[in-house]
Amino acid sequence: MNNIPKKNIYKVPEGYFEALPSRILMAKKKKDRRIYISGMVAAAIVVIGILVFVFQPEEEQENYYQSNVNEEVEFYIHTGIWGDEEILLLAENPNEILDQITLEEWEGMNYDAEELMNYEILY
Amino acid sequence: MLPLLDAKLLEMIKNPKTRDKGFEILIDTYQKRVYGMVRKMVIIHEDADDVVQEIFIKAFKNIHKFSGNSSLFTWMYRIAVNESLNFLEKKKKRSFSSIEEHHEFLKSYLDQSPYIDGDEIQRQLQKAILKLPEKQRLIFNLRYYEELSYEEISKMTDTTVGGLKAGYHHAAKKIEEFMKGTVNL
Repeated sequence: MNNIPKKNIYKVPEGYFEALPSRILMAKKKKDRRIYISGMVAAAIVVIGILVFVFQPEEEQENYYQSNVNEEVEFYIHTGIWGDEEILLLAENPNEILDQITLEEWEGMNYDAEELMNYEILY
Repeated sequence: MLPLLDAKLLEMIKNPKTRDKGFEILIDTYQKRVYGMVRKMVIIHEDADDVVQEIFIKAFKNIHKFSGNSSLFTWMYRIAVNESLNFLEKKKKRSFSSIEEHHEFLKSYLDQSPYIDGDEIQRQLQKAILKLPEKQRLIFNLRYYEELSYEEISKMTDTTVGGLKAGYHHAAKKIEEFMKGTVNL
């Protein structure tokens, strides 16, 4: 091996080393810019994520909970597990509902006060 | 103590006003040696170009971590060693061809590329070096071509001096055997 002269056989294109420093500095700036932009994008995503988490999910959770309750209530009513009285007892304002039902049922009817009196007499 | 050029360079790089100029001088100072070392490992010019750019960008990014315990040259070479070995490892994983096919390709590159100079014997020597495992090839190149001391190579490769000596002699022996079989020395 000592008989072989130690020569560098690897050549480079002409002007390669003259241009290399500015190419590297340009590549570095590009990379820095890319890191800056991706940092900004990441920050924006985090902010949007936080906003969505703070506002949206609460509403969604509430809607989700409400729709579940509604479905359950409908199931109990349709299957007859709950009767009229139970539904009324579960309501927040049973008297108002009863008044409303009464009003709706008696709405179209004309009363003859005299006739009513007669009934009263009869009974 | 740091060599004067290293100290001056680091001072320039620390100052935001002279940072770019400092980097430019750093590249200008080490580019040929770093390129030479990388090229002997990756063989293909375009690959060496990519690796060298990555080495300097990494050096800029981590220059604040440079403690001054070694010279800037040793530190730069340490990055170059890691990047070259990482590149070869990635290339092996990404490549669809086998290691043997890739070696064949590199051998034909040595014969045909316009970016290869030298006579038949020198090309044969490169082909013999190519037959070595990567780490052994690296040690051989650093010792034989770059003429670095075992102590310096030890700092760059995290290998003991004893291990390096044994590795180098083993590599040199293998190369000589290969060369005896192909050319008349």
